[in-house]
Amino acid sequence: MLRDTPVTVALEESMSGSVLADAADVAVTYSGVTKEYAATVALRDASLSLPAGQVHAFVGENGAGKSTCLGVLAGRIAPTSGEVRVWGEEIGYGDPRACRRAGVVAIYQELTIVPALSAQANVFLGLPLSTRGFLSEKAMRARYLELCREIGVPAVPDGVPAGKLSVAEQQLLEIMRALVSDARVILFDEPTASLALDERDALLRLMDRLRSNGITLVFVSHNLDEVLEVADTVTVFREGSIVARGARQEWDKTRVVREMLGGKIADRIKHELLEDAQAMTLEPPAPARAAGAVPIVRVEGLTVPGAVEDVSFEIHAGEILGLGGLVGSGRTTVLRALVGLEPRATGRMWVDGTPTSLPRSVRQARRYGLALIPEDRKGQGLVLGMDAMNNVALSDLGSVSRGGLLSRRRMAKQTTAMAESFGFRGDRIGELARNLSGGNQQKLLLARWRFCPPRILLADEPTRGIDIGAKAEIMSSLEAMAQEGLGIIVVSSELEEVCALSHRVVVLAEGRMAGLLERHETSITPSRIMSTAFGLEDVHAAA
Amino acid sequence: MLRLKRQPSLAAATADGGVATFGGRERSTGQMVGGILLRYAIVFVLVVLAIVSNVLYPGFFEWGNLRNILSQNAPVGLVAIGMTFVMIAGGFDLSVSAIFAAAGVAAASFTGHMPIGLAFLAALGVGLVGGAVNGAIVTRLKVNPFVATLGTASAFSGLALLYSHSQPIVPTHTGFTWLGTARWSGVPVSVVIFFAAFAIGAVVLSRTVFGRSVYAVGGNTEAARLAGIRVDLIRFVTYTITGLCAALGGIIIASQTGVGQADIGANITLDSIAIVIIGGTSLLGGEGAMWRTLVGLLILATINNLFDSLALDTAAQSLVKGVIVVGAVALDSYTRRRH
Repeated sequence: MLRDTPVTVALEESMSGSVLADAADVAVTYSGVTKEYAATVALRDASLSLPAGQVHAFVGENGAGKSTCLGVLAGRIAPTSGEVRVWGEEIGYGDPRACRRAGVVAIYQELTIVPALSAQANVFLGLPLSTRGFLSEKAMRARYLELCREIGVPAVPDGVPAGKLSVAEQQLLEIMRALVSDARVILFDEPTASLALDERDALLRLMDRLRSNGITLVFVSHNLDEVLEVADTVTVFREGSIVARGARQEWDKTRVVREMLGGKIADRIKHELLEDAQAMTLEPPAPARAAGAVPIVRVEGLTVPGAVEDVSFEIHAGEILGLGGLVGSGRTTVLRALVGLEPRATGRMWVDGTPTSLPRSVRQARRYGLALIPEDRKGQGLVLGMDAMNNVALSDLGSVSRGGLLSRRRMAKQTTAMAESFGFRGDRIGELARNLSGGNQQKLLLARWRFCPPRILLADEPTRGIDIGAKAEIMSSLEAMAQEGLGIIVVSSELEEVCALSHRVVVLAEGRMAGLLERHETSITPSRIMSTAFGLEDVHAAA
Repeated sequence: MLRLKRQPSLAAATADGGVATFGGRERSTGQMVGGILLRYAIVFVLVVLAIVSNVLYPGFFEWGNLRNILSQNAPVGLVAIGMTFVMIAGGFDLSVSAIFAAAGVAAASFTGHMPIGLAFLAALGVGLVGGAVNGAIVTRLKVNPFVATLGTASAFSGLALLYSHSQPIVPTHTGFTWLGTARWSGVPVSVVIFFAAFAIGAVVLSRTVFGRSVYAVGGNTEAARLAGIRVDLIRFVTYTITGLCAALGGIIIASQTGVGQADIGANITLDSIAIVIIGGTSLLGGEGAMWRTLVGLLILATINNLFDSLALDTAAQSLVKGVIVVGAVALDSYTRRRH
């Protein structure tokens, strides 16, 4: 629903009296900002003003333009036309250093921490405290401790390299770096995507604190709950345009989703799927296991020193096993050990009831019938410089070759069929993987393993960073694959997804098994997973 | 946004293998032309260079001159073919000049002890073993390829010097120079060998499962491993191919000069890497093509020929070569940013 009135006007009307006072309090103004790439318009005529000292959320599906809008303000992306002002001063387009000088600092998902340096060295990176060219380590440490007190976070002991810290702690260092450089506007791109629940809450509290210190925050997030929790204003992007904008009180989750998806019929269906997610958790899929059946894989006492201890489970054909627990509970390590990527892993393993050793290489795991879709799609999943069809065919290039020569025709035909079965548009099979959205990239990885099916597919965070529509498609694809007889082990930080998909959930906490939830014995809910992980009595069982 | 509905672009099969294609997106003719111009920019550079050469030195396009250019550059071209495999797989090989010289010494020496064909084969075996040693050090001992081959370059060179007592070996067998100097209906045998190796290399790289795996390993090692590709084996094989190609180049140069010398070809490493880079194959791995190496070779060969015929000194040649290598990489980096 595109509004006819200019968005800024609509905003001021809706917010009059409450938060918006006069022009002096406006931190950032976009007027008619457009960004075109060769074939696409990433952002179309965006105009909006962001009042100072508030938290502003940008939401939308992947590719809707929200990150472009953020990138222009950060100086990472030069707009094709239009104007952006920060406190009335026009920014240096495409010049991140100029934007930084103007007080705008962006914190991206890929953090820019130097792993070998200490916490304070990272905080003062680029602007170290020094006297006559020599670093003043003591002064930096003191200022660092002071900052920690100011924003209410624990300090990292001296001498611990930043590389040893958790993602959340590293992110804090970046936020502090922004603060020491006198940032007045801080931009966050998906700040909570790789944080555990408690870390997520801590970050939201910190954002609240920064706001009360007068800092303007702009953030992009797929997590609508946190958007509604922390934001003062919500701006919805769809297909490169701002389609709706308003103060927090005007919004609820349903309305945000409706604006994000717009009137597209296909997306409406996805939207319904999303609303059905709740229903899915209540309606247990029929247990796929025949009595007395031998599991495809059984693992006992799986241990990876320092990460996982004594984890045991089994998985049958047609079953979806969820690994529940917080980030850092060892979920990813379990998957990696199963495909031979953890050389120090020990434990006992049976394949079809026959005792074997744990796989020592990916190829050995493949012989057992195990394949992994890694969490890091770009870094470990796809060859970004190759086109979509080659990425799909990579799991079995031999099957599209004859006499040792690859047949591009056969590859295109077969991979297109696979990719289309996951809702990937067949006419994009020749595009470079680099140019595809996160959702389409994930579909390619799923298609890769339908092209050369394993017996058990391990999916690590299959929906991370993917827009709502594609999420629903990927979830129903996983269910369909299980119904065809594939065993699936799924790890996701979105506990609702784990609950909706899994027949059974192994709950991990600090590398140990905290419990096993069986769908046919109990309904699996996020609160049940969390209370199992924290070792609590299941107080929410009735809910 | 408008998109053309069209069938998967089967016609877009390119010499770059799976690397570059046009997708289903609509592009204006101008952008299309711009893209093609950038993609084949290096070919235009070669054409312009050849025309300029012919203006400055009117005999350039004469068959005698072209034949000279090709036979002079066949040895380094063979090395560059191997180097293309290693570099697309994300590796590097600094030991090619040592293998090149060692194989020449071996070929010259072996002719005294065995039939000539066998001697050449055995010399190729020297290169194969050298390449396999490189591959094993890189994949088994996990040594950075730069350091590993820097080390083996010194070791191979030392072995060749020890074996030959630092003396040139001049075989008395009359057939020894056949490979380097004979002609088949006017075409030097060395040139035929080079083009045969080029054709095989191009097909293997762009059309076979192995070749595609080389791109995958160089493009994203982890993704290739998780897809079930034998990453270490692929990388090992690329080093072995390079060893073989370097040896073939070394045998031909020994045959051309009629002498096996452990201290020749010091510039072979730099030149072969320069050829691959000038052609536009990425230093980072995963992107490139065999035809690019041929274009790179011809560019370097044309420059050398032009300088020789204008009787400019080698210092100037070296200077220009350096500028061109840096320019080629800068161009590559520039187009990558625009991508």
